[in-house]
Amino acid sequence: MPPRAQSRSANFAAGLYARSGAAAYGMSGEEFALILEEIQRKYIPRGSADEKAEFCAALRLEELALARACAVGNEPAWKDFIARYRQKLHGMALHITRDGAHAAELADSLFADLYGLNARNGLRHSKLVFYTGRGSLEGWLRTVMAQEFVNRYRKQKRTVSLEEQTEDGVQFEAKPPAPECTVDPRLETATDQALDELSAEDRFTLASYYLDGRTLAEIARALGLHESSISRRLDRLSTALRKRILAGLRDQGMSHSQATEALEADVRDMTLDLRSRLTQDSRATTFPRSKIPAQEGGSQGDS
Amino acid sequence: MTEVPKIVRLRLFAANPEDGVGHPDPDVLAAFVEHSLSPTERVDVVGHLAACRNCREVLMLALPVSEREFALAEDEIEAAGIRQTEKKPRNRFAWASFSLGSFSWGQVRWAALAAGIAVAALVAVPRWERAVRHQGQSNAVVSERLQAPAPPVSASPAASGASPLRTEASTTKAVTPQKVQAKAVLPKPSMQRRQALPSPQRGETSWAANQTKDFAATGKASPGAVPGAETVNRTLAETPSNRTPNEQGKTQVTIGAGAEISAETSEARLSSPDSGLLARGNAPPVEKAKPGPDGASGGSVQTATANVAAQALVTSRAKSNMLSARSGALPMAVRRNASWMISSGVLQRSLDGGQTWQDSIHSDHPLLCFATSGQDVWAGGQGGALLHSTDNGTTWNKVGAAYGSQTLSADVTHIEVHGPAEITLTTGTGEIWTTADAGKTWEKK
Repeated sequence: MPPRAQSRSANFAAGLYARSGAAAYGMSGEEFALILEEIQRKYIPRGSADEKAEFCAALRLEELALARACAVGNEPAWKDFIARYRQKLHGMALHITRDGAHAAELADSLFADLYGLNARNGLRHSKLVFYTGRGSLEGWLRTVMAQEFVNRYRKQKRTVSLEEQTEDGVQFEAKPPAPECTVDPRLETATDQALDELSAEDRFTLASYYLDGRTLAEIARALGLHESSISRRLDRLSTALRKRILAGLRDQGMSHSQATEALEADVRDMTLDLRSRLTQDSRATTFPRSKIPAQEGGSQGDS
Repeated sequence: MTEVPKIVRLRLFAANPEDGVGHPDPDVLAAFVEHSLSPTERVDVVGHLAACRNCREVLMLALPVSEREFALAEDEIEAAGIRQTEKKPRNRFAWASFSLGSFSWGQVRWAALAAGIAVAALVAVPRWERAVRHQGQSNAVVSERLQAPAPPVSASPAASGASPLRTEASTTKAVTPQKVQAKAVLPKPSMQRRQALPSPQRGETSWAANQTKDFAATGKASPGAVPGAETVNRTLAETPSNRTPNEQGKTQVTIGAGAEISAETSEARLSSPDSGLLARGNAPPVEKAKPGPDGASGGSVQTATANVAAQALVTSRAKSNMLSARSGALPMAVRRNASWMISSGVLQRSLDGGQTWQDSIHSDHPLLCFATSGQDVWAGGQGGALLHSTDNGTTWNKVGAAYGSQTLSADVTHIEVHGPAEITLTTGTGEIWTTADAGKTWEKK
């Protein structure tokens, strides 16, 4: 690198270091630069110098410095972290679990992971070392906590206590076989093609609304749009999908009336419990008091 | 709304495995929620989310929660009769949001309109009558006001020179005016930038929320290195009732008593971890820690960190109670000032000390930083977004910064206010833009 560019790069790095406030936590400029290099390697391994500079400038440098200082056990950093986030962790947990006792458990468990209580091979291992400053530290904590909650919920869902079921009076008898669904394979093909043509955001909107049962407001917040935009989008998608599926069925040799009937017939003939199939992985509720029975019939992923 | 055919749901379900691959890490998901990913990355993440139920679930749970939703969640939990270990101070308007939830939006709007007309009528009619009655006596009224006893707050020359109406307002609004004049312990507050740092604890008075940061700040070399010091200064806004402009044209933040109290309190807590305030029966996880990370000095580090952890467990209610005991109703006065914060790229304002927050302005691009000086509020964000309000956030102007043929288009990450019309912007790419006339003309360095 030419000397002028080197000097500019060094100044820029110094500026980032100054902005981060890492010095307050006893972190040197070199250490901070190493952290930034590691993050660059992860997200833009083949970026140009300017791209890397722009990328680093957009990071949450102060929070990155705080998190990484906490990860190595810096006490002033922990004081700051506790002051800023300890209570917020409980608030997040309360919002996620909707249960005070479980919220405390979830928050404390995460806090222990962040502090690095779970030592491996005698070495402190804090989750904060994975924070890279792309988003806010608060957002990262929320996401990590949500992931932990979802993982716990899934683990619990798969566990069935026979004793509890017996106490609840559940009769263990063979259930009748699920009725076969007579869906024309051409209809499935046409539908898959129509869905593939949609943009990722459209598919996300459909999946969130129809599979996950999310409200328009929730979807709007996730995508950074207005609620009315989501409503209009769903209307547009419903109409467009119908047209596209009908066109796809006609392309596969059906007449218009046959295609219409196939689409309509699908609605009438399907006797499956759609709700159980479509909402199999329904929104996680708080840790249930009784075990949720394992689902049968098309329960993908459930062991 | 038109429903999609059932076959669409089935095929969507088939394309959404429970355990997909290539999940985005929490950093990327958080950045997605905060709309700070590049367009390419965003498309990739949305593409994954469209096909992964697990990640969609995590995303929805990780969305920032509004104050109203949090209050509703608390109400829901209390209604279920489950006792919480840590109770957040109730939003005094939570009952309103809970009650309003049972009515439709249309009914609420009409009710609000009717209430507004009734209030306006109640206020306007007596005023009109009084104006008519006092038409011939206006001079005597002014004399009376000018001879009103000086309020205790008017120790500063600026305040004593205030208009009669302002004096009256100060008298009625400042509950403990003596405290307002207490000497500030913190460095001279200047209208410095505030980046989009984690916001003060909602539901707490702003300076109470930051008091532990104050303590940390006093132990450090420069306040600039620790966000806490700036944040304390920044989260107390100035309203006409308690603003005391100093010679430099900057507004003096009246937090002196609060700052002293917070510093003393933090010290007291660290030295006496068994104080009654900490007796919440909720041992922090840190106290269960094994020998601290420093190894040899684990004992003292652990004790100090445990003390800090214990300190952090004191609820805002305990803090407020203690602070109220020392400072009378100072927290009440503080709560009436405007506080600002940025949450998920939106600038929010609180007029009750952080208990409730309202979106002040939505920008086309996510906002990243803001700074205030009296009634002036500047907010900067991605893509060169720059907004300015001269009435404490009631109305906003979009400001386009240009210097010659160059226009501001990089992310504004840092705003410094040096005076009423003099500000400096710093962008993510290292550009520095200055104006001395409140944004009419700019210089770029």
